[in-house]
Amino acid sequence: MRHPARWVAGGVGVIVALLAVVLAVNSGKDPRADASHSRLVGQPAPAFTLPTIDGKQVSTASLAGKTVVVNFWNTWCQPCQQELPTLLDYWSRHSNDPDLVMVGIVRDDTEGAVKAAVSAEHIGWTIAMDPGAKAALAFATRGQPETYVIGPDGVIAGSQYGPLTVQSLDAMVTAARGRA
Amino acid sequence: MKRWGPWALLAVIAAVVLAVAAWPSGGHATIAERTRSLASELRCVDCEALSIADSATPTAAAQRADIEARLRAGQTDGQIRQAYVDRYGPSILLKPQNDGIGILVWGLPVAAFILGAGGLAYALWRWRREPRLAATEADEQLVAQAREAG
Amino acid sequence: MRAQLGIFGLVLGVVSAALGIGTLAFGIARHDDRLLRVGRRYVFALLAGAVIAVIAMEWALLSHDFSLKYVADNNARATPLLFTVTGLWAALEGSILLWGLILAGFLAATAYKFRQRATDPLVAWATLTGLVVAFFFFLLMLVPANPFKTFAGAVPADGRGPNPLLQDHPLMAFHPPMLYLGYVGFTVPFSFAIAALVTGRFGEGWLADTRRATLLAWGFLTIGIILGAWWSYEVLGWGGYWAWDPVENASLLPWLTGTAFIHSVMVQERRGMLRVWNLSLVVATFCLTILGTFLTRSGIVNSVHSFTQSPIGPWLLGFLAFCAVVGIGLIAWRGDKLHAPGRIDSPTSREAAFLANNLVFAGLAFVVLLGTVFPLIAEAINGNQLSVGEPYFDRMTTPLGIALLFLMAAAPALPWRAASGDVLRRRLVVPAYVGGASMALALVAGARGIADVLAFGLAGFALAGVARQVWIGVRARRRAHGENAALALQRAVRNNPRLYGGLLVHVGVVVLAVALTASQGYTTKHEVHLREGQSARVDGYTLTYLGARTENSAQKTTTSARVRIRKGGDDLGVYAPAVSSFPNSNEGIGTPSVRTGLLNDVYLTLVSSPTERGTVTLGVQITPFALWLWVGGAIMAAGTLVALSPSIGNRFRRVRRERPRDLLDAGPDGAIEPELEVATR
Repeated sequence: MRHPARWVAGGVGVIVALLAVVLAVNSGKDPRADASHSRLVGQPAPAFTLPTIDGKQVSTASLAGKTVVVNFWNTWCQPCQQELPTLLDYWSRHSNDPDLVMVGIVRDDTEGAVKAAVSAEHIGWTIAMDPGAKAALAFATRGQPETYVIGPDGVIAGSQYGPLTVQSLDAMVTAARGRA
Repeated sequence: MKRWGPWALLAVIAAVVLAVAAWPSGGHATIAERTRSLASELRCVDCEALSIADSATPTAAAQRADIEARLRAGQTDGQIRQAYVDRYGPSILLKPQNDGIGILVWGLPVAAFILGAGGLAYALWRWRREPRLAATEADEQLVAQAREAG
Repeated sequence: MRAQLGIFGLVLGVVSAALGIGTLAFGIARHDDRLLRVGRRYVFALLAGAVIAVIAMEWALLSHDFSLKYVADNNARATPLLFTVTGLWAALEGSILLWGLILAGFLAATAYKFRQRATDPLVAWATLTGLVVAFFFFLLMLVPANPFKTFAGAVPADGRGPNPLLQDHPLMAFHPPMLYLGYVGFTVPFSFAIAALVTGRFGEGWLADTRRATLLAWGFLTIGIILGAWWSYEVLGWGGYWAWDPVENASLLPWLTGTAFIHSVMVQERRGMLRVWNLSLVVATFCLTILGTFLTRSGIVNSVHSFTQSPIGPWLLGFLAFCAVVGIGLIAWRGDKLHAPGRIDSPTSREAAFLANNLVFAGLAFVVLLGTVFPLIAEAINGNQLSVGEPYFDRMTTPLGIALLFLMAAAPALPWRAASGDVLRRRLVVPAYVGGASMALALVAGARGIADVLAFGLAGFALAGVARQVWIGVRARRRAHGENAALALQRAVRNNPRLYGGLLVHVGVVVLAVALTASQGYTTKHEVHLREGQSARVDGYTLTYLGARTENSAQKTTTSARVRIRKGGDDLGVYAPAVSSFPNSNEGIGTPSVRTGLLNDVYLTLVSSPTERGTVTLGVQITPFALWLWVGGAIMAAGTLVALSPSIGNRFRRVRRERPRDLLDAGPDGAIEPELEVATR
């Protein structure tokens, strides 16, 4: 009888080959790819009331009927710094639009650092802190930067995990406005 | 019987100790214990491989508070797990579910181990049963020839 | 200048490896001894290239030469000296450089050790295989992962500095090098295994040749893994030491197969059996080290180690496939000839126990491998995103771990070949009772659950078994030579370092197992909010918040909260958990402060810095037996050293081993006569 080593070696070889194929297929994919699809898209946006850094408050009630871009960010994450020019550019083009509101919610950072960054970068839209990470939890955020666009009907029309580009933000807002 | 006496006694002692150890501690688990147990089954989303129970991030703290609030409101473990899966996707569960493809990750090691243990037992049994290498006819003739020659 | 020097070193390495491979290949094909002798010298040229490249990199780091991209990314003017030096392995490209240096070192040491046998085809093939591996890694450094890339244009004035986590603790100097010494060390037995397969000399020769190297690599890997766990505990601040993170698992996999190999080797030495299995284990261990590097460096899995994604993934995967194909192919090709006539006589023999040991370790390796790659497999099959985490690994490895504890307890009492029930019963009864007492003691001390109590009991059983072995060995020497106990022990160890080294390693494993069981199941976590001067009681400890302090240095800004710990009436000292921020990112990096006690660790973290009202939130974790994790690891390292030490009998004479002899031969009354001569090389 042939030594079983041949058969076992053949079997192990097949398994190893399959494993190598699986690894090769996954190689190069971002392991966080699943995070880019938020499960809240199509659901009504969670309600929140948060303190802004200039001492006021922002709440979903005050934003009803408008298209809202909610951007979770903080001062130390590098992709957040990457997308800042996109946000600044977008703000400069749409700051006079009464039906569009941009709200930045800070995740995992201190108020002092945020205030310093806001004044240094001339960030003009509403920036709110999230004590107790309640909003982050409600929106089921996976990290930062993460952006949700809410339509005038209060439903989340689109989301993006990772830094925004001008095209992606434009596309999401257009889709959201279409829900009026 | 005398040879097995000490061992039988030891077996009894061990059985008693294990029975006491396995006895569920009285009463239901507290909310804190249940929170911790559930939190250790859910993955912290902005850490790597840590559970919500172990993670120190503010989000994880908020999630622990959320789980506790849900438990106090009377939700069951299964409902809370489902709520989190609805929000974050099935990858938030650290313990793969038994249905669907998850059954492979639980079952394959058990199957492989049973296979291996079975193979080992079979090999041991075969080795015991196989007679020692017996001399063949040719061997006997060779010895006879050598004897005659020398 | 430094970049050019580094590139020169790498090119020298690649060219030496290639020339060495070519010369040795020709020498083997033509049976030309001269070529073989010349061919092995290229190993030393390879080492020279590696040393030059490393010197160039360290020089660049120490002189803050930011014209090199690697230095600019991983070093800054403010970086302290220690972390500048360790910057060599702070990121991908540099760590491959370290790998190359260690590999060249091992190859050179092996070439030197076997210099008398340079014309032996086994040695020639082994050297050739080692050079092929080295060629790959140096090529990796020249093409996709070049550490000496320079900036085309302007040179930055200051660098970014290392990742904050990598300049937080002196352990950075030890954990990666130890781990790499272990990983790379397994290249030596692998190359000899390939050589044995190719030359057809798969008897016990290659095993004896590589025994020390294998044990050394295993020892380093063990230390590297323990240091990694210590790092996780002391530096990362989440309070645990093992998260079943994919990269942690990747380091555990070769350790599991390596440990199986160390045990099954003894069966092959004595009975000539398990040749195929041992060859497969060695090939698997080496492939797992490459798989581990791939998982760590390719960015394919979420991990605390995945700092960078890089194009190196496909290269490593290709090399892994190549090694696996060559190894499996050779074993399949030689399959028939590997069949050994040996058999195992009895299921209650030490050989059978080693087989069971291998089965359990193979099971553990399978579980860890499956759990680690399963998310990838599930996604490939039906797009499902799954996680496999601690609850899975805990549940699957606990029964296997208990089986191992049982084997460790019973196996040393089992004689080789076969045991009669009487002998076994007599040998095991006292240790078994000690085990029973340990179980009861654990129960009284608060242990709950069958697995935990059983683990404590088996630990006691195993320790008592080891004690019995040592006592019997010492007693035999005293009877034979009339020495006092201390001298008898010393001489017994020196005459049989493998046995006593192995026993000491087992003691370390048992201590580790007890510490694991205690710390995993009985750790308590609390959070306290304290104003300055206020105290809180946690689990019998009184914690008083003394105040906060902020320190600025060029390297970092640290806010620490000083806490006095008291237990009963005793003042245990002031401890200061902290949060630091580094100039290259605002992210706060927490540093825990740990009060280590014999029985409990008090683990303090600063959850939130002092608010305007001066209250601070502290995380307090009480971890039982944490100290014994590190003590257990140290004992394992000590045992490895003992097992590696040369047997005293052979220091002055060369003893050729005629046939495998049993280390323990039981006399009629069960007394053990320790083996006095064991051939070592």
